[in-house]
Amino acid sequence: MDCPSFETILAAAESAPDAELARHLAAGCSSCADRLATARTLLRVLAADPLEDVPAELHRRAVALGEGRDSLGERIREWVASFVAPPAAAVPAFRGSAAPMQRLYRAGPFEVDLALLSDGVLVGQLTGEEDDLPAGGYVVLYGDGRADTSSLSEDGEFRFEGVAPGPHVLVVRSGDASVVVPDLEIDLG
Amino acid sequence: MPPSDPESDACLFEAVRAGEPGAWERFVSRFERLVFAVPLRMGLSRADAEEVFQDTWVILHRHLAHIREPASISSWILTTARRESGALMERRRRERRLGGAIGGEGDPGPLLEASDEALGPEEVLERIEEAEIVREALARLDERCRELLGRLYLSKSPPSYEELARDLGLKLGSVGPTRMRCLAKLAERLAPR
Repeated sequence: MDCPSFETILAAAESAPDAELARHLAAGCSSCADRLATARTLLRVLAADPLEDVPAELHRRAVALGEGRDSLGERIREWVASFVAPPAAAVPAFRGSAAPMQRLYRAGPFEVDLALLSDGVLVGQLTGEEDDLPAGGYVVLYGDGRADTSSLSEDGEFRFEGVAPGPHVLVVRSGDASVVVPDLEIDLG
Repeated sequence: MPPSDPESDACLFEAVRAGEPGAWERFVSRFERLVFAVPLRMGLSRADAEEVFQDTWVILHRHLAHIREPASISSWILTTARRESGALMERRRRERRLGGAIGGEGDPGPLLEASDEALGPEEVLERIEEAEIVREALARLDERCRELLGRLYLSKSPPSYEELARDLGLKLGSVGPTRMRCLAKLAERLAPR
């Protein structure tokens, strides 16, 4: 017997090899044995549950990570933000309280306004002096062993929930501008 | 798949690294179901799976420039998703132990959802990789086969042969033979050379 078509092999994989194919395999045709194994694997994979669809919001957030990035070689305009405080003042820990404590950071032409609410909700807004401040973008809050993302609204607003105490780094990305708030110490009090 | 294939994983990944417009979104669309499937099939809850999903993409985005083997990008993504899932599972276990120590009484409920046939993480990953390989091969079939096999095997509610015949303009009696021809084409693409 010559090697049969893949349709015959598949039919055998769905039920059992007919006598002729069984003899052919028993005679040691490794090619057909491989094809039968492939057919069985294929049918098993197709019989399994299909992969789950991703919720639209999750897709949108993942896509947002890449927005505004023209290339890796592109020189991102990055500013490291400074806490706006009277000279020589100690930078306080960011403590949640009933009345939200607000902190203002300045980074080049941008300002980042942050407020920590008592229930671990961090809200903020990126504002800029430039007329061409890009609308939208994303924000990443890096904490201890984790990174959370949030979308930047057209008004530059963002929000994180369930923020854990401890040191964080906040990166606001809009267009080719990146504002980094380092040493953001969260103290939930 | 040859590396010069413009639709290959490696070429798409290089397009992402080169900053080609739309490449990142195509990249996310290609791999997002894999990333989401890993924590779900390892048994994490849907909320935890969403957390793993986001973390995996953030990590990938941060490491774009440092990934050495573009051809192995799907393995890199799967491995990262598995590692993040494992870390979150461990964190949940710690929280559960801590909760039990503090709360004392009461059943805190199952730690994990029912996992994929109680497979180990490596087997879960293998199964997901197999599914992805089949999906990729299916995407390269002709339109009729793609439609027929996709609806029969990749949709949550597979149609009847009658519905398929009507929608694809086939005679009812030819749905079965067409299915087998399409499966054979698919198997040809997957068979070792």
